[in-house]
Amino acid sequence: MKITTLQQTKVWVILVTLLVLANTSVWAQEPASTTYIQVRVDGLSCPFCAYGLEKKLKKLEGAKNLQISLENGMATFEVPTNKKPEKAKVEKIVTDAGFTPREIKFSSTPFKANEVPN
Amino acid sequence: MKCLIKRLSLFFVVLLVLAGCQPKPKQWRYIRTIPISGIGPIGIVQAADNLWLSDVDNNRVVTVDKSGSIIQEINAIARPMHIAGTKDELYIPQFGADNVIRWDAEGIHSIAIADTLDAPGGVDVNDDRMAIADFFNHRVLVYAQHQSYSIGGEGHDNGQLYYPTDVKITDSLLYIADAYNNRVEVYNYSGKYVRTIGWQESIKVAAGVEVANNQIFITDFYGNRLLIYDIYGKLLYEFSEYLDKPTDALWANDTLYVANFKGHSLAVFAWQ
Repeated sequence: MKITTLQQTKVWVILVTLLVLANTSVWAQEPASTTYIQVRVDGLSCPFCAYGLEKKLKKLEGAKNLQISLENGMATFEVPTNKKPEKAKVEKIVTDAGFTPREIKFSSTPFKANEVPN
Repeated sequence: MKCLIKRLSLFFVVLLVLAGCQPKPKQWRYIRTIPISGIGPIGIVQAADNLWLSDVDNNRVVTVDKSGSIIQEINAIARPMHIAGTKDELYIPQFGADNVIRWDAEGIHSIAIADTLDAPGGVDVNDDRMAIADFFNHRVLVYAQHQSYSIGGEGHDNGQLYYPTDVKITDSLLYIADAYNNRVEVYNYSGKYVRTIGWQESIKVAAGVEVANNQIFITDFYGNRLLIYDIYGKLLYEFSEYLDKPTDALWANDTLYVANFKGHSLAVFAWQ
């Protein structure tokens, strides 16, 4: 089978186009931003409650780096901003875990260690 | 007359000596506290002659010597809670992974459970029986002779459970730490409710239960108490000193070990 010059040119055009598209899509993507979430509830000093809440919050899509502070009665974690849950959804998880949520905060920057909301 | 007085004196002396020789009834006495720095204990059991503790904060189970130093640790356990021990095995509920695993000298083995657990808080085994406190499902699952059944269900009446955290199996009964109903519930092997223990003592979260020597031991987590009952639920002893958020008790050779979660220690009591 003989490959003509026209066919060779077409192959090159396709390859170059694919390369450009690939590069464009990579560079066009912004670094994934993160939303930090802090949940404050009463009665979290019981380990069954605290780690029960931890278990439930982990099921939120994209949730990671979940920290539970028994001393401060707080849970902090982060999610990709494009998967940021509605406040009502977090509230429901807290309520289903047997707690009454006192405060739920969202932030684009990490919460300071042991930071207690006002 | 003198002779009579002598004889009477002698009689009273002998009586006094005999009274002194009467064995004192045994009772619980505080002995000491063993610091277990860095460990947040939930469950405590004896297996293979060692004390084993579930260290929930650090996702591990450890064995300690009598000074509280760690001898051995099993790592990467997802929030272990009330563990059970046999001669050479440990049964560990993974609260954070919704399963129960078995550990022996050869390693960790999974246990097939034909049901869906939601945060198992405690497990106990006795011959061919196994019971699991299923925290968020408000029930206890019992596996016996190739059959299984469920005890409890969410509620506050007798025969119902509200966030059970621990279970103990004896030769004829099951004792369940019905944590947020602030009591221990007793069932027979048919799953029938028998009695409630601790309902009069205003317990603030009945976190753990131990049954031994015809006595029931309840750790009152927020009340910082250890309550000891007879098998019919009559309160025998109450300790409030030496405890700091107690989660479990273990009877071993006339010695009682109480795990202090917040105190990072073991309070030791002796039956003497």
